Amino acid sequence: MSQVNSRNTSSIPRLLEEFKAAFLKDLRSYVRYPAWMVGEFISTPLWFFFFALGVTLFAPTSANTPQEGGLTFFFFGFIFIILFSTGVWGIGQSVRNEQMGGTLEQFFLAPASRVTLIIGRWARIFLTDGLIIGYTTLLLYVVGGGLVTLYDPALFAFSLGLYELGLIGFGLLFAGLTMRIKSYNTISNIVFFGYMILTGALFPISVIPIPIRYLSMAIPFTYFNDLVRHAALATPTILPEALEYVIASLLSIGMVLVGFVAFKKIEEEARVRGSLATI
Amino acid sequence: MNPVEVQSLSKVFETKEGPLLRKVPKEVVAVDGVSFSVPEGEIFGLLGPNGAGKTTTIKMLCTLITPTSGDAFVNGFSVAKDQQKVRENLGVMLTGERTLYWKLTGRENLEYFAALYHLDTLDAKKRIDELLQLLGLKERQDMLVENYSTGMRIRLSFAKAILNDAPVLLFDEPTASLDPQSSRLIRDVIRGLRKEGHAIILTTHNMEEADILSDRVAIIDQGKIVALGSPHDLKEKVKSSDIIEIEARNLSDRTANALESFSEVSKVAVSIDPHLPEKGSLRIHAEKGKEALPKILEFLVRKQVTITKVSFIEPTLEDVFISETGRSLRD
Amino acid sequence: MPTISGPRTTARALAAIFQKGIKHYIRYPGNFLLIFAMPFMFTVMIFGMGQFVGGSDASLNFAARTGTSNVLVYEILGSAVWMISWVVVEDVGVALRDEQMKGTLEQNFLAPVSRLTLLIGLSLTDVVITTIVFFGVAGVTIIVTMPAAFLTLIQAFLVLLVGLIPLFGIGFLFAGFVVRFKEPYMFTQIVNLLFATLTGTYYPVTLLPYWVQLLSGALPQTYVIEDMRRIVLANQTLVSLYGSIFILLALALAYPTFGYVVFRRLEKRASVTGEFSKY
Repeated sequence: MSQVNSRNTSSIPRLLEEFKAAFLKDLRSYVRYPAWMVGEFISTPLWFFFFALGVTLFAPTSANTPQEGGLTFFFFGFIFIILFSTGVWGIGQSVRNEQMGGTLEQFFLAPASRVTLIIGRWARIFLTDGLIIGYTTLLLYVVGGGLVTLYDPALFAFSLGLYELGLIGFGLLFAGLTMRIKSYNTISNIVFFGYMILTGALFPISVIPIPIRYLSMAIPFTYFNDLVRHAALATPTILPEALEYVIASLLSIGMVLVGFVAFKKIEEEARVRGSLATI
Repeated sequence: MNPVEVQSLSKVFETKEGPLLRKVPKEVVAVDGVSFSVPEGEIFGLLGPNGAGKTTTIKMLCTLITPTSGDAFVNGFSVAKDQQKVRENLGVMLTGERTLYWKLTGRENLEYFAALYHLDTLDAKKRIDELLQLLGLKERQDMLVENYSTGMRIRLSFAKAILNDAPVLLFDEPTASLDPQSSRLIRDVIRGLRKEGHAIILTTHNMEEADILSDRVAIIDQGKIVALGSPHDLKEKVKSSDIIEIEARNLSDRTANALESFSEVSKVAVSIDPHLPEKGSLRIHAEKGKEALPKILEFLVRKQVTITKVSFIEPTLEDVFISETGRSLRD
Repeated sequence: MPTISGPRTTARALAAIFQKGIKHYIRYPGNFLLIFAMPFMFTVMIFGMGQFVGGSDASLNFAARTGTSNVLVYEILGSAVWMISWVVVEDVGVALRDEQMKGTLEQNFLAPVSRLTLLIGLSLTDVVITTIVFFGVAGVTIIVTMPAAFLTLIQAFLVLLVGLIPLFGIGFLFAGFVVRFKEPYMFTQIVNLLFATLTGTYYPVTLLPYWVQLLSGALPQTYVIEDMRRIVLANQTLVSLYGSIFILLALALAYPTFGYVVFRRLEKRASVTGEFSKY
């Protein structure tokens, strides 16, 4: 048989190859579950319209739909839900799914960077999420006449970048936790609902009673949501704008570091316990 | 230094047993001070019954499990300290058919792992083509793995293990669940890899496979190596005894234990067919077996054992296991 | 000795399937707790969004549209029925998919037990589970906020019991699709979301376009939710709702029959294509 030349593991091209392999693998698997693909494209706008109708009951009686500003506020809420679910189910639970499917050991056997492989997966989800959000925006425009505009596109991109960085860190932490605790379904749902209710995703935290509001202000995603919305809709920020951006930047970098360290530690512990393959 | 050096490797698992609120911690010694080395161009077999510690040993060597004590070196790199380097020097096949991505094709699975093992793109393509051809998967390379038969998945898993042409190869039960033809193919490929100079460790509970394939065999039982040597040398050790195999009905452990009280008999192992409990066999190691045979048969008849076949046989690795442990490999 | 099928053996089989289902819930307490938590979490979300949109007049606007100012009970009743519907559809439909993935579906189908017995056994588990969910979610909320409403609670429960029968029929339908097409999770998510949208979970169905209301009229949950709200919040009695109870009884005949026929057809097809053992 022919000889094989493997290259040095620490070079940038190597990491890019790993990233590309993980991205393509995930994209192919996704496309080959057409039910999932179609399901996501159908269910996403459906969730939005379903909740929007429920909220209509509370709107002023002269309005047949929630106020336009309210509608755009919710729309961003749903964008946040889509993006956040990446961290919980896209990255976090996917590692657990690999464990149950038997391929996690293969993942850990390879001399490839764990983080690159996970980021490769995140990139695929970011791409498909982007398509879903774009399609839902179009649908909203066609059906409801609503048009989502961006107040400051550059600031929006920066704010979204902070959000995604924090999300990757959270995803790594969550992936480690689900590998360790194994009952991912319950934890995933609790975390997800906590996000929806406490972080200003669907309604401003000013609606939340004061003692619970302090809890909201301790969650990094509260600031990420707030800044993305501020950059898109010119809504006021929770804290002074500059201060909030500094805090959010530090939080997003911190989350990546914490997530990475936690994932490594849990992986090490799984090796000691011999539980990498345990379902 | 040999490509594989294992030095007093041990693994103790901590578990909890007992009723719900009164669980008591318990330690399970899965591997107990195992040491061996494997030079280039050798197939080293790890033979033992289920639960002996073979898979745990393999998983420590490929860094999936952290040893409790001791160390092992793969191409000079410590499994405890240089895990990344160890992985670069290993090709591993674990048991089970669910080690592949079912929603990828055979080729796509190999391309993915080729990237993870940092193969050059052109090399990878050539290598994948060769392996798919070699293992009879060329025609199904673009079919999703979920539509493969069990045999095809195992062959693909094997292809993945040798894809990166690593100097050290670990195969955990590589021919389990395969038909005789596919098993022969895998064995031929393993022999070819040995000729190329790879150091190969192979675990199996199939004694015949260990015998015909391995250059040396370590028989492992309850986490310890109980015998180590070439199959020929190991069998020579038990040749001083005659080995009598008696197939019979109505055998029991009690009958077998009673036979050991005979002065001529050194070891007795009984195997009862789990599906047909009334059917079983005895493997008796005896000095001057031909002289002892009438006494043994008379005893069995008195115990109302129905004898169906008696033969003197050449020692196998099973007999080596029996002589060391007093139990059959199939237990 | 060959087994002989008869009433006694069928009853034993039913009991065994029922017990297995109950044990499954007991051994996954996290999932069970989530079923209780989700109705409350969704209600809080809707309420929060409503407060943001309606401001200080939010409750008044709600009362003007629904005829009641008791937002909590109104939403919880819809939420509880939605959750019950989700549980039934998933338990009967997705349970078979879980068995397929574990490899035990073939073992179940090999046994000399009729498919109807299998489906009814799964459904019996849900009668217990849905009763617990109803009283744990809606019951507790009603007793705490409206202490004198115990008798109305019992009447509401009777409506649910009648409504469960057509729901099981929908579950049978799912079970067939699952065995044949193998991708139930996204399918059930979309269908459950459609059910929630069409059946007035968080709003009266009169808010929907007329042609959509025709679809709502074909779903048992629409009548269950509406009748429960009338009994608990508008002091109507079960007897006065004889019209919709009659429709529910008709659906109770139609859905299980149709669902079982479809299940058998799809199962037969699956046995031809060898789907039972496919992962």
